[in-house]
Amino acid sequence: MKKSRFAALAVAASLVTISLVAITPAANASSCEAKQLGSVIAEVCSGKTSDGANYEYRTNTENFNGTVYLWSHGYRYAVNLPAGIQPPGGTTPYIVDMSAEVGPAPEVIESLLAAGYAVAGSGFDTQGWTVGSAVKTNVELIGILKSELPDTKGVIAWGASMGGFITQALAERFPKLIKSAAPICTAAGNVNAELTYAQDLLWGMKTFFDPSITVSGYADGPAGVGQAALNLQKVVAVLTHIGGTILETDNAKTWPATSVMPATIKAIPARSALTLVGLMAGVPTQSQHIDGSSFPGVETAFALALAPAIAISENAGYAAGLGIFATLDLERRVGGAFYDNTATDYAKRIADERASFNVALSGNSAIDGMLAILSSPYGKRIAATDQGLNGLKAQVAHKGKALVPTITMTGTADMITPAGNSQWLTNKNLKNTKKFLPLWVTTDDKWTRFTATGAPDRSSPAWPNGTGHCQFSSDQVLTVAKLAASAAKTGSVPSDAAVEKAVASVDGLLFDREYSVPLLKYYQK
Amino acid sequence: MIRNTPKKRALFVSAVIAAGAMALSTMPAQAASQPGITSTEIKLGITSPLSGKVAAVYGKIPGAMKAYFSHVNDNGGVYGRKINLISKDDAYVPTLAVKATNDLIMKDKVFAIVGALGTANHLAALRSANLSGRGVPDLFVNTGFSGFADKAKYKTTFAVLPSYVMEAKIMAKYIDDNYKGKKVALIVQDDDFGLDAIAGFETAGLKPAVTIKFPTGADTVAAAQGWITGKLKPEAVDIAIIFATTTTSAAVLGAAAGLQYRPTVGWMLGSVGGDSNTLRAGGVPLAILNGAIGTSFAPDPSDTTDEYVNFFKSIYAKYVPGSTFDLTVLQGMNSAMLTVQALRAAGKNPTRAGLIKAIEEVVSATISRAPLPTNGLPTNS
Repeated sequence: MKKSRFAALAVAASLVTISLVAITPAANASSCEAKQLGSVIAEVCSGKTSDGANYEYRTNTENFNGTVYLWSHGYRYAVNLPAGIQPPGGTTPYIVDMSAEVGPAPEVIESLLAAGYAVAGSGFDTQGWTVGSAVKTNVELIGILKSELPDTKGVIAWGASMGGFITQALAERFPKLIKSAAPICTAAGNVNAELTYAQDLLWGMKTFFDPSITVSGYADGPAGVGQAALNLQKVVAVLTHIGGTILETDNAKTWPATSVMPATIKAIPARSALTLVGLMAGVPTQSQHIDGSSFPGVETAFALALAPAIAISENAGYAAGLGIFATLDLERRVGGAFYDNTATDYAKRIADERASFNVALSGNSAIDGMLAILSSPYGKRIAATDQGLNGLKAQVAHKGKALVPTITMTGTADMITPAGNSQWLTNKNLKNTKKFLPLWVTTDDKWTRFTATGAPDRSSPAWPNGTGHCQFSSDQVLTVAKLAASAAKTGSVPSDAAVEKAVASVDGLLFDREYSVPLLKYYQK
Repeated sequence: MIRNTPKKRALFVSAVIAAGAMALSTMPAQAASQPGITSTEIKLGITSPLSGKVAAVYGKIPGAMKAYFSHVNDNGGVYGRKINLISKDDAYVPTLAVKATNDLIMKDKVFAIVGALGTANHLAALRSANLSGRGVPDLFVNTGFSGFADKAKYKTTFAVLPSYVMEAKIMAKYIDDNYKGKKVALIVQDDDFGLDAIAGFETAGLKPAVTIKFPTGADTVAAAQGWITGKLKPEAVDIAIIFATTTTSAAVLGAAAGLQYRPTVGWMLGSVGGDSNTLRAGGVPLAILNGAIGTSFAPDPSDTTDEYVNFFKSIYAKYVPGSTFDLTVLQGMNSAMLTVQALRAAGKNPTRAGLIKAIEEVVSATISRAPLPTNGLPTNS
């Protein structure tokens, strides 16, 4: 099945458009023209909101049914980056992208237009973690839509990743403006929960593998950007070294040269330390190429001992990219460092996993030894600044309760916005079944392939179900869109029976109200 | 060390009585609105290693359970319902156990999980599938992990084996009674399995002169040779306890055979890795096994004088002809028998909550008359 990658960190999807007929701009200065979008001829209108954000909406004037899907795009890096530095999901060189984005993928947009819906979205007035101003932009855009498309009867808000966070915030603050909401692969609750995930990962890597890795406290101006770029390179170097020596039996060779760990710790395979770091942060142990179940031949050691570390190494680069550049961005917004692990109990963090991953972690003695490091001078804790903490508190946060019909969809092995985000929203709505509907994209049975030598084949560019960030198929996304449209009409999410029927034929999509995944570590008590 | 007793025969007799009652009570049962229950069927699920390294030893559990269920089904089922056991492979890998268990609950919609194998596997699976939160009965897990006795945490889980802590305490008492003052070495996995063993020996006052803890999977013959030459021989131990899986027992005993080494008193094996038939089938020389002391909570599957063994053996021969009847098979059939008793105790219109209540109240009373103090039930003291 074709996958529509619309990762929040990616630049907006480019559209192959054919300009046909220019149409007179709308009275409020939207500029419109007809364009051929696949099989649909749509009226495409664009303009700027009062805060300067680019916006765009598209309608199929032949059959507009009065409902508009308002899309909120995901996180985009807030700073330009030079060639040679390629942040996950970004380009190199990276130029801050301010373009409007009206939907997750061209084929989804075309399907919605063909069905008579309009689609809309903006590029927001600034990039980075910009939830507060994004909500304002969306509110203004809804006004523009209702003004310029007088047949508009209702708006469905949806978005991915940070766009999901914006969607939920819009639904909580302005429930009367929208009929239903669909935050997908969303961050949820507060931004600190999401960033703590990535920062804990970075802190663990700093502690075990390279003390020069920066977790927080970036310098001002261009120096901070350079620091962040260098930081990403250091993280990648560590992951590359461990990934490249994963089959090595001489533990001394598996540790990066930058590590300052004592000999007792270096007697443990470095992959075990990486597994510990990944587990204590909450990094998924399934990834693009690693299902965690497969093994070559009859020897299960690969699945038990090696697979978790390989999966974490594949996922950690993405999570670290988020942690580095979003921390840089947010520290500038809030006025100081906000990461604080002075009171974090990492032993408690992995209490549920130490039995299941005992082999990958090299046994209880190794686990206890590594945990002891985290409470020793090697694991120097990091304190937030008062300014950073106060600034963070001023950021938009969710209450969590769905006030309008809300549908989430989440990949269970998403490595940038882990599924524990959606679980937080789900837990807030366990009894709110008329307004809240959680959908999950679960992983397939098996997808790891092995080479003739028994090593994992990591050449496939495909993202299996449930892995990657916001890697959904068109079928999955359109199912959410249809359910949201149905909910917009009735004021309630469709019945469980109707949802079961709707998802039954969609590969990888699961509806089960009793299904749950672990919360983000930040939220675990 | 633990042999068949009159109490054990009481359990057997109760099963026979139950089977007789079944034959008389095959009236049509009402359909209930419970997952996995229809008017004609009770759907159960099991995950176990059908592939991978340990499949040869433990892969026989589902077949053994199915054999017993077939016997019950052919005699009228449980209140007229036939038991259908859905079996899925977990290869003894937690990630696969998670997937398989979730599939059993959400896709196959089984009424209960029965006979799952392995502590690490099942801890991951029951957490992911939210068995406790869903109220899914999780019956007779094949592990002695003491943690499953925590009913606040594992509300619906019942392990079938006596806890490893209890087993270690019994072994320690045996050593104290028969070999007081002898120098003991303990070989354990460096995980919860091993922790339980160490806790049991410590509680019983046994202080090993040598404790070898190894990460699971590091139990190769080469590693075992190192343990013998580096620890056991220099310390001149009298008794070496292998409290680990069959793989470990085989590795250590195989290495000992190669090195012509034997502790002065001998080897002592825990129940998990101590079945001589399985070890022999795995290539461990008979000479090295002679004199070794094995612990077991079940009768010897080759004991033709045991009614319990004979009863299961005849069923297994009928439904799985040509397959060897061993301790794993016996365990699987024992779990199946307990499951049937529990289902019967849950009544004609079983619910998940009713089944759990039945186990806690009715079946535990039955088991309390048996010599198997099943972990997690009131008899586990």
